[in-house]
Amino acid sequence: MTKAATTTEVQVITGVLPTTQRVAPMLSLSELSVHYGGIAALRGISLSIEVGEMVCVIGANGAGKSSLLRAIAGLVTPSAGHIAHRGVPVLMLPSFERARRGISLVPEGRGVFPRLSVQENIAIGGYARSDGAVKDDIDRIYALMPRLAERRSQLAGTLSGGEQQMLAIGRAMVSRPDLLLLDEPSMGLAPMMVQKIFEIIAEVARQGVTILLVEQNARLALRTASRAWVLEGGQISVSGPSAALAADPRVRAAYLGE
Amino acid sequence: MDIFLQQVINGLVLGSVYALVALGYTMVYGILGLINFAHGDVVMVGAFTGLALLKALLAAGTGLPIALAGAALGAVLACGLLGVAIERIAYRPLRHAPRLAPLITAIGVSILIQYVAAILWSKQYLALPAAFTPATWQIGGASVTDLQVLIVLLAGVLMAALLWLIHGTKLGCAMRATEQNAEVAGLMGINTNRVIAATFLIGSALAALAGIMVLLYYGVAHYFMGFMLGLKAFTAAVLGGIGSVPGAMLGGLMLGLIESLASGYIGDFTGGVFGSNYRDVFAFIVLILVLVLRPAGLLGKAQGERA
Repeated sequence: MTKAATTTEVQVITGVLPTTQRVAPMLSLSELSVHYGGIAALRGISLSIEVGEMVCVIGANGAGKSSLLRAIAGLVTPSAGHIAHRGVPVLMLPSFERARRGISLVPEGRGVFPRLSVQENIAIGGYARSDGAVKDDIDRIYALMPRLAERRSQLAGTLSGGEQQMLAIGRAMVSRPDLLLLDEPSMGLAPMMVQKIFEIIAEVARQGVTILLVEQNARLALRTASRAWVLEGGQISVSGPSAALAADPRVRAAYLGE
Repeated sequence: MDIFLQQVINGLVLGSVYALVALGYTMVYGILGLINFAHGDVVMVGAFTGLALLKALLAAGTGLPIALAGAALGAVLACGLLGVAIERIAYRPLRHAPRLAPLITAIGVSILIQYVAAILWSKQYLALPAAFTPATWQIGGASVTDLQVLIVLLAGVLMAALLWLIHGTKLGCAMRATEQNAEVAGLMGINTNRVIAATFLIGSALAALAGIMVLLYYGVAHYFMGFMLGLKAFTAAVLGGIGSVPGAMLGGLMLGLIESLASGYIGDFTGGVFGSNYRDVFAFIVLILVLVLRPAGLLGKAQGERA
């Protein structure tokens, strides 16, 4: 938080993580489909995320980005397909069970509890933990985000949008997730605050948490993540290393405004 | 005899009971957005099971204080289970149904409980055993019984304990989080179904104790007693601001005082045309006034927060 994390630092860090190890992927989706009534939001999504990766999904409004994260977190029931977390199928588990297994979603619009204090919001992240280290983790979050420490006794609903986003990420971190799902963390925030939030996200990634980021701000997302998928009409249209996508003329035309 | 002081004392006793019952309405409304119209009947079940246990324990030769404690404990357990069962069987399958469905179901559950109680026990008024003759003290021209003091004190302790539970424990924090955003509460690893069940358990346990208080205070139990009591407690919850726990406490006490004072003075004000037998009218005058003048209630949240 004190020194600005540059994108090169992040890439070096994610680059040295042992992604070729023979372990089950952090997350694998196969042929995942989601329907709302008769309307398809996702159509046969398959992808795999390795342990320690920081990846992103970009796409336009209504492309199915939020539905993807909600299906992984257990907030919507897919109409078809499979979801495995560290090799374990989780499709039949309710959202609170998935949260307890380490899948943590920071939802679109932050989802802080407006009439709980900042302190209570952060502490509730550790609700399902029974170890004694929750307090230390809360202190670490405050050290990373001093603005929250100053406002700890304030009601969360009185925070600015950026502070609420920090709180939502901090709260998720207190659950000690191994997979962090971030839904549009930059939405509605001033550029300065967006930069701050992405510094925090980079710091979280550096601590070894696997991150799946969903963003409309494609430029920022591609700069932060190592690999990316482009979602179009509920299907993956392009995928690959972020650098390759950022150079892809189709992506540049459709999502980078060039 | 000082009528004013006497009616304040009576109003506090009545208000304590209303407040305990109103808490059950307001907690369930806060967390599910549902008016649990069967809640008044849980109070009735508390009075009936309490009465049955009391008779059995006294018949077995148990001393009065222990018999009372045993009856209260048994009623709390029975009503707690009943409340959890109502939620599990009647309301949970309708969690995502249009709002009218659980509302009508609640009325159905209410009627079901009433008539099961009528079949199990009796359609007659059942009286308390003769063992009860509360001691009476004179204070400033008014009389107060040890039972009245016990009711007000116990209600106060229960409400203080509930506030501590809601604001000072992990379960209370989970209850508040579930009330504010159940979906996100689930993302925090909170089993929201269990939190909702706990809410029904707590509300029903308070209802059981309120039922025993009513039984001891009026000396009778009747299978239909939960109807009027439930409506009045619901009025108290609306007066305080439905969904607000301190609101239910305040609304209950205020309604008890209003009802008691109004029925104490109505004879004087109307020259004897109306008497204290019109006491039930005041709760509903209050309900209409609140709904017209201040629909969110005294301590209620701003409107429109919940769709």
